[in-house]
Amino acid sequence: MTEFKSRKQRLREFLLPEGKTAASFVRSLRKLAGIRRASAGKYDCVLYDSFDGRAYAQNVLLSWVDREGGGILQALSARDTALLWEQPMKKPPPRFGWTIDRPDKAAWLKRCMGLRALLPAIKLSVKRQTFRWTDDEDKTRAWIHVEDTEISTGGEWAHAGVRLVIEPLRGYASSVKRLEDRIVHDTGARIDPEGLFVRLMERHSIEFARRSARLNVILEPEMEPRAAIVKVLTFLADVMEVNEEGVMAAWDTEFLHDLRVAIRRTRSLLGQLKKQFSAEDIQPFRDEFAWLGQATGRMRDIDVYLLEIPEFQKMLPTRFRGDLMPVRDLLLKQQKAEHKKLKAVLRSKKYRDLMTRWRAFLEQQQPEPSAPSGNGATVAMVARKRIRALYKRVLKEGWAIDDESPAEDLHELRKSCKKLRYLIECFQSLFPADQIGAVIRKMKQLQENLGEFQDLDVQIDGLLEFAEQLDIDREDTPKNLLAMGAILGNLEHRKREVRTEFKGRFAAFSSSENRDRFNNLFRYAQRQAA
Amino acid sequence: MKVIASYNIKGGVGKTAAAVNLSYLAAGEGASTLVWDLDPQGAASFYFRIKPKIQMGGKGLFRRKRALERVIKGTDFPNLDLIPADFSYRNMDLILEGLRNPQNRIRKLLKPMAREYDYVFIDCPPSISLVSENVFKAANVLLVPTIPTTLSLRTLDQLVTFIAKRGYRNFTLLPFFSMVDRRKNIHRLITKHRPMGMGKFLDSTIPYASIVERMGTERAPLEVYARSSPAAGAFRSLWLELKTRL
Ligand SMILES: Nc1ncnc2c1ncn2[C@@H]1O[C@H](COP(=O)(O)OP(=O)(O)OP(=O)(O)O)[C@@H](O)[C@H]1O
Ligand SMILES: [Mg+2]
Repeated sequence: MTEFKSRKQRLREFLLPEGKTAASFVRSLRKLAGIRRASAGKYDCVLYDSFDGRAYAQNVLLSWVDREGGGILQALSARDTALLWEQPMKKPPPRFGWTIDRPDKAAWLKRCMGLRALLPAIKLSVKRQTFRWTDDEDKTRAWIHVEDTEISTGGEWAHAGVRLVIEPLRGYASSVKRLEDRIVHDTGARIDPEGLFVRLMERHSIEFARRSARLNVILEPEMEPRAAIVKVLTFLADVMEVNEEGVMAAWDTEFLHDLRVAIRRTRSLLGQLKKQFSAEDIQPFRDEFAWLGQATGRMRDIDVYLLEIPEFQKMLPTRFRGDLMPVRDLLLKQQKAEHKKLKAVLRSKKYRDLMTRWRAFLEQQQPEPSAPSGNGATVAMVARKRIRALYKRVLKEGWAIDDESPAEDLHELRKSCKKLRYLIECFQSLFPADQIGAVIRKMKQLQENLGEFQDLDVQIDGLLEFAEQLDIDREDTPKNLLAMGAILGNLEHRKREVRTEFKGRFAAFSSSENRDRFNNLFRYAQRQAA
Repeated sequence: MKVIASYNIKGGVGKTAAAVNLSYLAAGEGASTLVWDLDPQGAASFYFRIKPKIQMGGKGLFRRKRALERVIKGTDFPNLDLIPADFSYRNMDLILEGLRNPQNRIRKLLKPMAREYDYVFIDCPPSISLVSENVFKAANVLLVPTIPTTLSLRTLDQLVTFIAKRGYRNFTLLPFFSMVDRRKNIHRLITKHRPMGMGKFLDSTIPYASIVERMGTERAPLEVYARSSPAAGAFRSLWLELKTRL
């Protein structure tokens, strides 16, 4: 879990005694000495997370609670109902956590959420009564919240449970322990180690899993190859559709990214495994997915440029950083226009038809359970063969590259690596997890180098393109161009470094040790097939 | 972490009022904030309804490991904690004298607090002593509430001279006018013609207002019971201005 500098405060949750209501619990609570009513009302409470549940995956709950005297954003530990930090926040949190104006919490949220937007995951309506447990100076030692909670599910409200929370103030823990004991003893409430929010999120996390773009399709080695590939392709079609809404709404840039990765993987699989299908069946799909990749590409490029602006700014001395603003403004304008086009693509008949026909095609391919599987090949055999062939190609292409080789050769190798990586990931469930993990890690190291080389090229091209679009007659344009020039210099320099680093990276990838890793995989697959 | 000491050689000038109200505002913005009530009379502790007593007394602070952490109390307000006063603080000079490096003890104690807090407000007792020298060593800002009278300005002048003589460099001296009574000629005169050579006075001033005195019966920061009063507004402006000087 992401650590935060403030010391965490433990909250304690309780379960209502069997058969008791919130009201009857409150009656027994108020009989205890030192209990005073603090506030009561009906409030909204929203549990936030990224679309794919990144906070929850790191054992963090983010709740924004509207309450007396202004709302508050709280980061809670999902492991032990502890309060990690809180931030007064009158309105619901901004889409991107890193824009809140406390630098430490902004950085924390950035680490936790990456590029993803904070979206409401669970909406609650809470009838809350808050009590104080006081000492003889009327100083609060603990807050006691009794929250009768309703959850919104598709426009309807359903009872979600009662949340009893004791929130000790710092320095009063030992006396609050006495209060907890008394509550258990006098009211029959029981300690709830998990907490209501965690239970609600746990239920909701099925949704997170459904939305994750990580390829985790489980295949059996003896599966008929086409059935196995169809299973993966179906998963990828799900990923595309699950991300449509977020692309349309432009919640964050990851939706489009995930959508595009699914398109690329689909295309790559159709290319690599085309022999499994009839060519005339799949050629139209290959063409149309190529079109879709293209139709969504420009928007992604602009997203990437915009994400890079802060990095570009860091390359400049502080006083010149503002000079990049016109580039940013230009990009934002283009982003808006491009997003309109993108929405039109996703709404178009062409796209809709493609997805409908694609789904229908995938369904048709499901073999009858009893149908004999063609030539008797299994997915494990096909996977081994295809991965091995691509792996050989990567080695051959890589070995052919020396210090003098042109950039195109590196780009070709990058593409082959990508194809290999997609294949490995798509069939990863057929191999032992630790072995496949090691292979993927090594691939990543090589791909990082090749990817950065390519990205730098794209960035350089982009800068040149934007430079031409700046208004020459504007007074500030020379300054903007100078700033861009400085960045260009930086990028070119980095490109040379990356090019030099390639040799070492590829040497590691093609080392005999790593070749053994691959060969072990192939042997494993062979044994499986036998 | 910024350490803001509310300090004046003179008593009864609004040091505690400033420490309590400003710390409340800082915490209200989400900054993790600590108030250290260094005055054995415990006025700040009293305003937060926290008993002016710490485990093992003032001596314990310098003897135990992570001593401050053990005595911190949460106030009734989010992000705002307090180290209570203790009656033994009245002998603090004596306690400090017996220790090695006696002028740096408070700075040392506060150092690990940077992991947890964005701001520490120290509510100081009046007079110059070994305790206040410790505060001077620990502070980033010396906030000096000053009543606009000739006598108060003389005291401020003494402070400025003392600081210059000792050559402290770690803090900014920020005096501001406190308990300003518009009905009094001398108050109007002095606030209008800022004295020179005594540090740069903040523009914000705190008016004399009976609503501030009510903190004693309400036992809460002004913002809690009189949000819309001019005095509460004055503390908000003071905080805004102070933040720009940190
Ligand atoms: N702006 C104000 N208007 C009216 N009364 C005030 C104002 N500020 C403080 N007071 C009152 O004046 C008295 C002294 O204020 P305060 O305790 O803040 O000063 P101090 O400098 O901390 O005093 P000490 O030196 O005793 O610690 C208190 O009774 C307080 O309520
Ligand atoms: Mg005082």
